[in-house]
Amino acid sequence: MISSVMTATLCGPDTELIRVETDISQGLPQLSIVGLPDATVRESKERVRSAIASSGCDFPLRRITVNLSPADTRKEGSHFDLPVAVGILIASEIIDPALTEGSAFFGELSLNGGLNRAEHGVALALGLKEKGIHSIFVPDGSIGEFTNIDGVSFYAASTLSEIVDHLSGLKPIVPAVFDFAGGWGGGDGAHATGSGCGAEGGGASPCAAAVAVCGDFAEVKGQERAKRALQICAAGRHDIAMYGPPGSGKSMLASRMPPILPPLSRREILEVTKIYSIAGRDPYEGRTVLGRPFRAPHHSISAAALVGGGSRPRPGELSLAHRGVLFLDELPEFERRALEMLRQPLEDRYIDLSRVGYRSRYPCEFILIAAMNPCPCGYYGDPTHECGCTERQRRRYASRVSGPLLDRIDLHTRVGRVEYSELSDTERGSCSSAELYAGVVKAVGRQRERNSPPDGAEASAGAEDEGEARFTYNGDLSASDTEKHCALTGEAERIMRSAYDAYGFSARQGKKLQRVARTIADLDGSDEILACHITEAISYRRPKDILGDAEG
Amino acid sequence: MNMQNSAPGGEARYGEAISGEQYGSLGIEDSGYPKALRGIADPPPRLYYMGKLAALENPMVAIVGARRATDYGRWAAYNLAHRLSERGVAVVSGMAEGIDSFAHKGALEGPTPTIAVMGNGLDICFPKSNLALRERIARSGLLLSEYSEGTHGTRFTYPARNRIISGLSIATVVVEAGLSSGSLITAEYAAAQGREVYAVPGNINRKLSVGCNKLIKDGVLPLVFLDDILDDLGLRTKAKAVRRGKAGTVGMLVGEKRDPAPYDISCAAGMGELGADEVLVLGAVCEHGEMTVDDAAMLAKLSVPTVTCAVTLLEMKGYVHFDGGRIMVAN
Repeated sequence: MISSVMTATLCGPDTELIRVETDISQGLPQLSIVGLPDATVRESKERVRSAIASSGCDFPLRRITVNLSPADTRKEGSHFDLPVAVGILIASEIIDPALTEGSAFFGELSLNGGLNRAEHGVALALGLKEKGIHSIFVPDGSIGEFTNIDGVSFYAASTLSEIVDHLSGLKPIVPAVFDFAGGWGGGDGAHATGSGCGAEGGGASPCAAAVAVCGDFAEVKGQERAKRALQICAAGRHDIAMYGPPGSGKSMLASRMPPILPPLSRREILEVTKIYSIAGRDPYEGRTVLGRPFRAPHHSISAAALVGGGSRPRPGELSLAHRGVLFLDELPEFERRALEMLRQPLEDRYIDLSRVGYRSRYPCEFILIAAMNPCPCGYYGDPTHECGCTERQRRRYASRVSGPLLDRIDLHTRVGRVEYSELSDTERGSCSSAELYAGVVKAVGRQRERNSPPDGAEASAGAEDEGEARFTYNGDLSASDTEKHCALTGEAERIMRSAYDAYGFSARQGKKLQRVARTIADLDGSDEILACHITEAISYRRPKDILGDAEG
Repeated sequence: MNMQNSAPGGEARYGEAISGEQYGSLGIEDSGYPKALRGIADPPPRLYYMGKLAALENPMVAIVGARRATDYGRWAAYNLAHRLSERGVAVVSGMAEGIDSFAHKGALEGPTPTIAVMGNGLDICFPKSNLALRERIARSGLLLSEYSEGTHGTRFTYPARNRIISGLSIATVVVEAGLSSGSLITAEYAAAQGREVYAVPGNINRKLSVGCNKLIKDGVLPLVFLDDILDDLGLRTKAKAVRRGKAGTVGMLVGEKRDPAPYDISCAAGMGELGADEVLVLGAVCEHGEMTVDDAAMLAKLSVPTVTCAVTLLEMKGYVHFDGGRIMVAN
């Protein structure tokens, strides 16, 4: 007989439903797999043969043909082992086909019949859910990855024989159903900054948990202005560039960002988990990504690793930082080609990777934190160290980062050297992460109310989000929304106009500053952008004579 | 006057770049030859020029300084030059990197042409990075050299042209200089030629201030206010008229001498243009000198956002200079 079992394969960021058809017919004992399998899938027949035998079932000694349909899509991954095995078992009438209706399978088989974790589990499960699959059979070892996916029953098994027993009714597996309202999100990531939308979960604040890992802003002394700038970034999803001499605390400041970021919403958690799943990397060791990612690639990174690439494009650091922070330390040391690739994603917040036969669009809504020295020796503008660089050296260093790239960054601030007296001065207040976080949560709340699309537009698309409104961070407001939400009136408008003349802003810089001012007003709890908000925003403009603009 | 408007072979390469501009040379006997220069000990027998000879008719002040300049030096050179240019003074400098370039740039923002004296033939641009600047000066100002086309600069030609820079000018201002700086040579020439020399004072713990501070110790006039030099040249009254005409423009107050005491905050506040926070911040910066926003917040007992806000307003009103990190009083 011919059997048919469902599984899936990845095509870029999308999942394609794959039907595994198995035919057992008369002929010499042989197992052939057709339908564009890659080497891993082709090798699966050896694993399947041994696994079935080890599970106490008979491997049919007849001619077996497995077809992976649609036949023109490339199939890759070791997760095809389980569906192929189940297909053979159905075709040899060991399992009743009716029991696998609406189910999908993925998992890698061991020769002894055990089930191993396969890559891309979450991405596949999310895709299958969209395609109307209601039960998924997965390896026991990777069940932890799926805790954020609701509406699907997960049957976790550690061996093939457990699945056979379940499907033949001998020993049913209790499905794991994850329900957001109920119990998911035990905060199993040490990195977790949020245990759900709104962070209402009682007990310690998510910020405190993350502070234990990342460190507290209170430990950074004498950099209140930089902290304020980072708070604005966290609240409104703005990008920032910090300039300063070595040892002034740029990296220290950046690494303390995760705790003050707003908690991830459910939808965001799924987005992030999916990207990590597609990347096939698992920095969270099988746990769901609950905290906002913090990516700090070394400056030797290649362009492809930064933006994503490969013949079947995989997400790069840009997308791995989605909904989190991308920290580029020593910006001018990065490969020029890699940096220039940031231009379009910084503007559009997604990246299209086009290869022959594939076009993958990955999101990259991260907060960019760029840090750099003002000159090769690092001490230009420092009041105590003498800068030993010539004008030409400075200019060459500066020209490694292009003007258009810096133009796309919302906030700019210098981070100065801190005197010893300031470090030891206990009277000087030092703003803590908890204080900053409280401000961010408040400001995000205001944005959620104001920047949500009008009712109805998203009602159908976000229906399953159970009232969790989609909203845009101030930093991502479109041109028309900027007009609407960031309007300047009276005194603020007057100040902005004279600032345009005084500092020669480009239209883009002006709009960016308006959005930054909106976030500052949100942090202040103000409905209108007041004069003090726009002036503070203007102070974060791109300095004229630092990197990139030697014309002074 | 000996005008050579036909391009000799050597200039042809630059013929396009300077089309429409005047270029040629002046012998020491020519009537257009600057009188001030004729009076120095070792006047160049022939001056090659490119640009507008009319620039030589203005009173001239030289601004010179280090190539590796600090923000402070650049700021001082730029603003001083701008101010002088607005008062009808032609700024003379050597178009080197650093202070020289910023002096030219500041002067180009004003209405009076600026004069660059080169240590090489006029068809050569040195440093190359100043190509755009050279173009701007050639178009609206004047390039001078005692060397004919094709002469490359050497370690001797650059110091030698300094005598022309000081010789053309009524006064020479040294903005920033190390101990062995070429600007000190210019100052020496100026003193020997009987011209006024000013030095912009700097912090005593900075390498680039030592030259200037030492000049002051040796009896050179310190430039305490940007307007000092205008007073001495008798250009102050004219200046006031110009300023009144453009009152209200952002940045107009930079460098303005405020009477009676320039840093009397109550006086500034009395003008009704500063808010309470701005007065506090300005007071702190005036009292303690260059500082960060954090320092100002602590000294003025204000929050960081409030100080940031006040600083931006102060900067737009021209009271301070803020580079995104440190706040500096704008004289």
